[in-house]
Amino acid sequence: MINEFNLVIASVGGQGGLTLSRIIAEAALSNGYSVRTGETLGMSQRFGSVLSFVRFGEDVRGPLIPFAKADVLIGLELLEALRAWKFIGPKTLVLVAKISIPPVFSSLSHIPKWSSYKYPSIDDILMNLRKRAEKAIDIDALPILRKLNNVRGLNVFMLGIFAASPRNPIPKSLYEDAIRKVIKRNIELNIKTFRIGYDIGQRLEFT
Amino acid sequence: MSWILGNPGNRVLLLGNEAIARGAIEAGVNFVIGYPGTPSSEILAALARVADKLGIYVNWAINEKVALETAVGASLSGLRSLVTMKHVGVNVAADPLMTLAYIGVIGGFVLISADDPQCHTSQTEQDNRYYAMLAKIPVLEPTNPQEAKDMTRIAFSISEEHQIPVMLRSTPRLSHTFGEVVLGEITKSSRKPSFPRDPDRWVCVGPTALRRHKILEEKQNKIKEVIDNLDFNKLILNNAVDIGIITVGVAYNYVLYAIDKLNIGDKVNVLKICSSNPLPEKNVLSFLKRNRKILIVEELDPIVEKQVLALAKKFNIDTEIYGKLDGFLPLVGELNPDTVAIAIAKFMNIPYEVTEKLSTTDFSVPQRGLAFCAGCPHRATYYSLRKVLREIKKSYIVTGDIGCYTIGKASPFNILDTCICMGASISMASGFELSKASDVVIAVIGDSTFLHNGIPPLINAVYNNSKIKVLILDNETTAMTGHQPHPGTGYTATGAKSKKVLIEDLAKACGVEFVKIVDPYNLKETQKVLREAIEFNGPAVVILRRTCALLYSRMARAKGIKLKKYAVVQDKCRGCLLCIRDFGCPAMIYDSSTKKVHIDPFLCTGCGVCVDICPFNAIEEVGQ
Repeated sequence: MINEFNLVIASVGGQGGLTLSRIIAEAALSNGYSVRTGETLGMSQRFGSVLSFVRFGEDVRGPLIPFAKADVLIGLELLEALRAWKFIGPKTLVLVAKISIPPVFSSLSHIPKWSSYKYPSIDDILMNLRKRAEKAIDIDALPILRKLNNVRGLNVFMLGIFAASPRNPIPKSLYEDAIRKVIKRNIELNIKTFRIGYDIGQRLEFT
Repeated sequence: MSWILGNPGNRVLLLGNEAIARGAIEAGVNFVIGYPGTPSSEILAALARVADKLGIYVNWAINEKVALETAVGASLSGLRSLVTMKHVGVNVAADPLMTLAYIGVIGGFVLISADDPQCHTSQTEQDNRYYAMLAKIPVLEPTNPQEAKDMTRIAFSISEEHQIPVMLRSTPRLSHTFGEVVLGEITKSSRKPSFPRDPDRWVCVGPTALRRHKILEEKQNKIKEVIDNLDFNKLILNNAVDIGIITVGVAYNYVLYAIDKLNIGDKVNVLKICSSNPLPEKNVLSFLKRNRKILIVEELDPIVEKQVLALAKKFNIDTEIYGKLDGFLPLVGELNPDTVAIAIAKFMNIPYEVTEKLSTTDFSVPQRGLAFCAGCPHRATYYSLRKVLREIKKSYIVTGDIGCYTIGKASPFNILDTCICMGASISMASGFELSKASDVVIAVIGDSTFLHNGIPPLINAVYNNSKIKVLILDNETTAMTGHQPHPGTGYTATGAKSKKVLIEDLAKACGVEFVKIVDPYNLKETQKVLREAIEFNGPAVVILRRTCALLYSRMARAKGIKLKKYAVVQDKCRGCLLCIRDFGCPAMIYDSSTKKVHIDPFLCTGCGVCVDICPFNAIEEVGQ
């Protein structure tokens, strides 16, 4: 039993970040842990920043994670992973999909009036994540998901990567049960996507 | 979704709001009604899904006042009634709530007030525990989903036993938190409705009201005793220690976190109480006497703190009392583990390190800001409105209202001048117009919001002869809170058909002579009608009707209808960026290497409005 595990999921509205937090919470519950999830949403239904927290362990209380105390940050989008920097500390493992979804007005950032919308370079984002985290791993998820014809399955793919990391304290099979419970559509395709993420994760160097 | 009907003893993951719903089911609730509002909406939605199975009545009301009053009718018929709303909804429902406390209830009556510290999705972060004090009714404040369920259940018993409405206060950190909940027994209710006719009680005026007030006051001490004896009050004592913390609700979680992280488990006493009105006085008094100094940790206003100060004064206890009034904790915004740990460290005179570096960064993260979804009809409406307002060369004010369309305040439209509460767009517009503050005054309001509180202001505008132009942005749903139906949709909360109330009929019945309906996707027609409305010498209503793009794409997917797709003909695109700068559609992607725009096929929902915006006719339909 672990005492307390703090997981942050950073995503853009519509990417499935909330569903992912729900899947992990269900798996943690099945594993006998006490669980809390929380979320910080923008007011936009789509395309806004979505920050979800999943906390589990022997006895967890509130849903919020203190600053710099994330054990793992799963980023479904690069800029959103960077936006969650406050939760990254020297012991955090960052797993981020190498996917950019620029804010609408980033396209105009070459015009001075709109320059604050400039999307940072991927290298800059990764450098800043690495500077704060114990380890930050970027995963080129899109080509794999396209091949699987399951771009919407990014969340379960990244879950597979996390499940394969030595930080993960929950048996893989419980995640699969949780996916079956939470996801309504294309269950088998999503299980497959999760497993492919897991296989890829097993070949990564997490430390 | 039927896990909220799970068997007793099961340990399941429930959202705080689902836990409240389960608590109501366990209490044998008969009648549920409310108005959508974040973070309360999932309570009623969860109950609507199981309403038929349980044989209970669940529906949305037109607004919170009507919801509460309808539930009063059910309660006076002996039915257990639940009313759900967000904190500002209680403002709307405050009128009947005050009198309800006087007349009292028959069937258990529970009001859920979902507060929003931090204004995550609201116009204020008001502390609705003041309403409980104002109405002199008990308020229960759960810490986690388990307590949310159990307290909802017990709230019904307290309400029924003492014939008083009971409030349950939630916040997003409870309502929108999943946590494990052990389910209890479900009470199968077989109540037969029966109204005990008693005009000397239910017709609450003059001497009757005064008499009922006296009865309400007499209830207070009994209820105080009930609250004092609830197991939800928790005491953690270290016998040799004379320093203590009093906390309530969700803040208890942060207190426990801080004690753990500061490693002071053996250096401090904790009293967690379950209600700020009435204060569990015996618990608080004995805690006051035991401790030399006390810190009070509560979400939002120092309500417990002020009462504890008064209590200490009354009983001549010289315990030092700290909290929000002396700045140990902030009065603005929600609490979090760090703010509470900082306050407790300061209170205990011990160091706590929130890495200072954290407050500054050496990089900037661009905001995503507020954006309409791809295909949102409001985007098209605001595009046309802005175009027309620029062309007419007159001064104008645009008053806004509560809903997705409030995003019109943000780029690229920056078109809304005001937004204060539901319905205020129309009444404020009248105020501006009657003050002659500008040549043209436009009010922008959504369909659900218009039905909620927009009709009296529209009648008033006609009556006051205020020549406002009211734009009703009718996306045929209550979009922002999660697509709940309303009277204009012709469906109920459980999906049953009902009489469809037509907004155009209402507008005409209000006495408005200019009422026109347009499809905002049709830019030319929309702009023509907007110009006509502005030129019309009198109040005018334009209904911009087009189903919410999210709802439409979901329906289309379910029915197997393919959405239209559009693409930018690259040879024709000159990279003027008008489609992004003036329209702001997130499906438009600019490629800085080719200096041309393309449309992301995954994001595009096929509204096709961009075809008419592109000055170079570069956008074409490309099949499905």
